[in-house]
Amino acid sequence: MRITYFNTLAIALLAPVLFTPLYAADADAATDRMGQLEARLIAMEARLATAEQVQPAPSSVSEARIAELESRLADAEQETKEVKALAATGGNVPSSSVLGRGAAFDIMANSAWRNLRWTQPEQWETVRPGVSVETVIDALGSPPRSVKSLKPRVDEVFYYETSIRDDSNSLRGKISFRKGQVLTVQKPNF
Amino acid sequence: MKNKIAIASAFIAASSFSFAEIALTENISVEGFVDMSYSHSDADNGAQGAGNESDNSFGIDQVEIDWLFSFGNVSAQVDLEYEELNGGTNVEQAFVNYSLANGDVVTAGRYATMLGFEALEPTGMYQFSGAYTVQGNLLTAARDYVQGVKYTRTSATTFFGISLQDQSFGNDGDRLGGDNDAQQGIDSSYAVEVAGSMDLGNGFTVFAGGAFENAESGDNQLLNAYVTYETGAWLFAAELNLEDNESNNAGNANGDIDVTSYLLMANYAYSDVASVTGRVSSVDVDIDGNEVLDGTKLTLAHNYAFSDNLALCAEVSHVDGDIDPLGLGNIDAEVTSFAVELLFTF
Repeated sequence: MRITYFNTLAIALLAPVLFTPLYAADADAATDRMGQLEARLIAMEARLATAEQVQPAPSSVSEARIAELESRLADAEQETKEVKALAATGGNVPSSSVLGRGAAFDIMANSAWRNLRWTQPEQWETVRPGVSVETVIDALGSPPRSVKSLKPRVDEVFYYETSIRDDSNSLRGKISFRKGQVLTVQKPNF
Repeated sequence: MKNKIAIASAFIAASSFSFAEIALTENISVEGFVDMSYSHSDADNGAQGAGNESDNSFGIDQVEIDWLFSFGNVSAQVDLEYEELNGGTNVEQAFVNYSLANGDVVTAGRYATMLGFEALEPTGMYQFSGAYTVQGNLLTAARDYVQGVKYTRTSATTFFGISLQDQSFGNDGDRLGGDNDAQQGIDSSYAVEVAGSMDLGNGFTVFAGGAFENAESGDNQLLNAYVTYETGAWLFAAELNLEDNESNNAGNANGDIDVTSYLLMANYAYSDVASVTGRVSSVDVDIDGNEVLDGTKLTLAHNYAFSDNLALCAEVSHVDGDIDPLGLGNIDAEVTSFAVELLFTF
């Protein structure tokens, strides 16, 4: 059959008459089903509300795992930073450059050594009665404090101490001189 | 107590900038002392009236804080002090040292005179009072601190120094080279000080020096020499001063003032913390050939150190002199003094 304007108009006029009883039967079934669905939905909502009121038990395994992963991530990030830093310097940290990290460390280490070598017990081995002031300074460094002694037989006293206030928890050494030579030595209590 | 002129100590002092007292930083350190005393004196001039009196005093005599700076070849020192006798706080010393390549040192600023056996500070004294003082009054005119430029050379056994300075006897101070305020127009005003010492070995050290002052009011000069001998716990010293003063600062407009003074001293350290000192000193003052003062002072002192930082000095002294200030005959005067001094250093 050819589809023409006349045929289309005839089908449109006949369709409501032909299909109306069938449509009425389907509408009743759908209403029943919607009621069932609504009942199931209400029941599910009720179960969900009940479930939400109960806290789930924590999973210790998951927490430990998360902590491990976070730790590994932090390590990886640190390694990445160091790799980037090395890459930025071409893999070589200049030791002679003022701006170099190695040089800065060397300067700090030398300065600390110069000022604090008296804190190492082996440095006191050469400090004995009779040695000169210069020998003492070579071995221990310049004293943090010294006084011209008021004792008749002592000219000067070098104090090697980490603190002049706290005498309970600090290293304290003391060397007295007479005519440029060590008279007595009191080593720190290492 | 130490002898400030012992040559070894002088060398240590000369290089003490590297020996920080209390090191604040690598370049700055500080030291100082607090000096306090009680004294009692009885004066008797053999007549009634003024001059016969007793006196007691207790107080802080001097507080000093010294700042030491060291920057390689350049070092500096600034001494700030409160002194009861001078009535206030002042800058006692302020000078800069420049060490030459050969170890010689050029100093500029205000610094202590190189002359004299006795220390200028109580920390270097063997007694409480000076040899040439009576009740705190110095009987000579030589000044302790001067302003100028000084050159010093020090070796293991010798010392030499020369200083061009503004004054040596308190005339025309702060006027090195003179100024327009001089009564006769622009007048020269300067002083020169020369000193040298040598360690002869075996405990002997000799020192000789002099000061010449060309002031508007006249020329003044001082010759100073002393010798020390140290053996074991004993220290002996002898000093002689010859002073010729033409200035009118003594109130005698045209007077020629000659001052001769000397001391003999013995110190014995009978333990590590205690010593006893005996001293005889004398001052003779003539004006235009007339003797106006002839006094002898006997001093006995005991020092005890509680620690390296704290010491107690007790002293008894007696001055017996003849005074004839107006040429009307001698007045026999005596002054007996007792003093206890507590000295704290840091």
